[in-house]
Amino acid sequence: MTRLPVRALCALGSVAALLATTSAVASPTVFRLTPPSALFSFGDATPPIIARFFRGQKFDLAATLIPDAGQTITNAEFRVDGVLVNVPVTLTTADASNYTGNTAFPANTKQAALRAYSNSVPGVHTFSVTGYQADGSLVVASGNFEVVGFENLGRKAKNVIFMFGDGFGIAHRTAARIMGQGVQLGKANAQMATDAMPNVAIVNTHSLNSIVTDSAPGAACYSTGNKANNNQEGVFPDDTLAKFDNPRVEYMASYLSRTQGKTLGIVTTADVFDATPAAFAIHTQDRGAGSGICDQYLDEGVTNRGLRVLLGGGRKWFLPTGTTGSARTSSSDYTLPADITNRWNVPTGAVDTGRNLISEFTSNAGFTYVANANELTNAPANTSRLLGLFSFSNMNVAKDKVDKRRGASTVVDDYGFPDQPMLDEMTRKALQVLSKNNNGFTLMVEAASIDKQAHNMDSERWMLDTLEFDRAVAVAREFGASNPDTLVVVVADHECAGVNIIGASMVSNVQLTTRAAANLGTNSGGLRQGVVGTYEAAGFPIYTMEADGYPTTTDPDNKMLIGYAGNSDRFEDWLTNAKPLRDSQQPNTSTAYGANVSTLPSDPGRRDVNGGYWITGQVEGSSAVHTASDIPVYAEGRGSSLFRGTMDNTDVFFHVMQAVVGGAPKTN
Amino acid sequence: MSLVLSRILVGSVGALVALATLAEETQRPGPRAARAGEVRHPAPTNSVPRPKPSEQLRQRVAELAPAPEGVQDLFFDEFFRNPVGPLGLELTDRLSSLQGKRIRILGFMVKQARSTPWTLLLAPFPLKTHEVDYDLADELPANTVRVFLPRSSQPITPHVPGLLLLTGRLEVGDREEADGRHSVVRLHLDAPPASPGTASTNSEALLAPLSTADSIRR
Repeated sequence: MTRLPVRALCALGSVAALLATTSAVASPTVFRLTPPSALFSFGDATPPIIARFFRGQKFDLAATLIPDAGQTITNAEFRVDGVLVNVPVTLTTADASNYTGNTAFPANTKQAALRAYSNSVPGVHTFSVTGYQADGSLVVASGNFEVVGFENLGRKAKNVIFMFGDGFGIAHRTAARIMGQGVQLGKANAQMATDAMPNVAIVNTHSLNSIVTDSAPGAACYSTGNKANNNQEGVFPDDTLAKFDNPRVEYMASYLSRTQGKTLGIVTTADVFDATPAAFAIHTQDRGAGSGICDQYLDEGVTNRGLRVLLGGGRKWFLPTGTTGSARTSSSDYTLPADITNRWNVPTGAVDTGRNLISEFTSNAGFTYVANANELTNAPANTSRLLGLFSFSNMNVAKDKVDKRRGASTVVDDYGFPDQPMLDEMTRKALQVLSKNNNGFTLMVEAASIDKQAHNMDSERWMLDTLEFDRAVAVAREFGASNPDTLVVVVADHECAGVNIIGASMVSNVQLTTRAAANLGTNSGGLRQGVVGTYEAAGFPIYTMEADGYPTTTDPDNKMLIGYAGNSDRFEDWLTNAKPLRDSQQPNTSTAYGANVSTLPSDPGRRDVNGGYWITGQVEGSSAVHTASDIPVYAEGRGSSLFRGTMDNTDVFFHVMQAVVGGAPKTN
Repeated sequence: MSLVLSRILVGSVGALVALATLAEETQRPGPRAARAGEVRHPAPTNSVPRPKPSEQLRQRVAELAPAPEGVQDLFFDEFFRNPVGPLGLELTDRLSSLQGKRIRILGFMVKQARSTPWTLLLAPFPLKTHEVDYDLADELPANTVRVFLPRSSQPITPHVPGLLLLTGRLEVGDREEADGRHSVVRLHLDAPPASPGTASTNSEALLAPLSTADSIRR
């Protein structure tokens, strides 16, 4: 208990941090030491150890060295447990830090990097950097990391399926259960597929630089076992502006590909360059660098991580400049420094906006390409590599896809992609392809728009995306039931929007619709008084479900009502929004639906206005935000017994690795 | 629907003609001061359906004087074929047929954090970009029109909120511009008038509030 005050006090001043750990033999200083550690930052060697690696997992050692004025850094060495690591160290100029106000470093500040180090001895290790200055003086700074071993505990998991509900907090699933299954006399009528999973734990979701994570480190913690700053995936922070040169941490997929020959599948309803899917295969400090991210799916993903399935949106990154709709840009493309290519054995990359990635995936890497749900369904059963790009940016959400399938013209027509697959269909096809590998696979399936629609405070849209996600979970569990050496993990990167169920409407849909046009706000006859039923006034909302698994209407009488703790300003009328908020990244092509994409509201302050019920949010802007709330993780299958109690998000990685490499006691 | 008077802009894009405009959906209806004892907030009190914005654009153009001889009206929803095929977007026959010809188009000037000299972006709805914070990772639709201003004008055009009706020569085809952005449809504005009253640049600025759509971090 004394540790926390020490770290908290030291955190008050960076100077204190340096003084606590830096040798006094010289004036040069160490600004940053990677992997991150409380030993370096606060002089605290006690647990929790910040950086942990599975036995033999590769990672980079790095340090930022500031010389005396007029001096230069000439060399650097890294030692682990006092022993020199005999691998070349490269020095590059540290041009600025993105995370210290873009303040330029003193002249000749260098970033030293030792690439692709690994250690197979379990336990806590102390490491140090020694920086040499031209005048012969030197600086030493120390940190620590932990190598996590495994035990041979039983049969090993052959396949791992991460079911990823982006922004999927406790209340999102409660709302989906109330809608999808119903509650009567205080009990849910039935469980969701996720509910029925036997092992449950609670996960803390903080990132390296905030209590509130974004999706990049929020997902990468599960695939690397390590924390990163917000916006970063598969890397530690550094002090250069280059997007792809940060110190790397080996992905689970890379480790399992090189050690066990496993393959990888990535399935998402987002643009495939988005943070969560990329956080399972791409190393970058900039989650927005779409051209480079999608290039790396092919350049490194296929060869180094066994990528065999990639399904989602984001076709715009795969089209060469010159093809209408291409979004490939030089500034979002990538090349790698030689030390990364040499030590990690990966291609250099190139700034090549004219690259035709679809063609290279199909012609050079043997992938089958599908562009819509029909083609996905009809992909031959013997397909062994599958690329599906079903929209130019994020795919449309479940409600709009379902309404289209029921015969209504929705925004899917307006955006020009009327035949997009549902997530459960994508999951089923991905499993069909990946299961051809006798060595097993890792599959990540993301329901991206639980998060995106919670940001928009579009309650019914994230609820239907949660129902869609649960149907995909059912597909994964079905696969696990027939392939018992499979571990299924249902998890989220973070909670989004501070969602909760505040009660239910006390009026019929007809009455609510009348009030939504009455411009009475919170006054009598408006949208709060007499409408928002709390406690017993909420009763049990009833939604009728169709055979397709989705409700007949999301506006029944006495419907469920949602509040948002992380909300921005908005109007609210409780009714289902006929149209989603505008996604300006989509092609604006048609007059088929409501005349034009231009008719879609651009933010939550421009819809539901006729009821006059204005809700002032706690946050600026027009979007609800992620919260620091814990999220649950559900597990089933081989190794699922490891998931219990309350854990850090990085613990999930190590439990999965234990299950795959060391096995686990037999469980249900 | 409310009407607000526009202003006359003179300078970078040539002579501009004053008009009245539609506030339409770009007017974000925020709360007004409450009356004593009142807590409700205002909202449009429409008793009749409002025309949709794209219809408004077409109506607005229809209300204007017909396009000059040799100039055709073009709308944002005429650019690409629908549905989208298996690869890239496909240009409509109409857009392709206008290659190299003079057109006029009504849209919103994108508010950019970092502008490119003698260039502005015209979009079908109000947008902001955040080049300083997010480089090019913003949310411009594929049918954003890149507008090239005459070199005789000021290099940087201050943002003009509201609708702009621009006339010039159309150029079509995807390419990466020097500033890193893609352009598919480009409009080379007519040269500014030789003297007042002889405007060849038919750019009419209509005031309307700018969208406050913020960048969203997921």
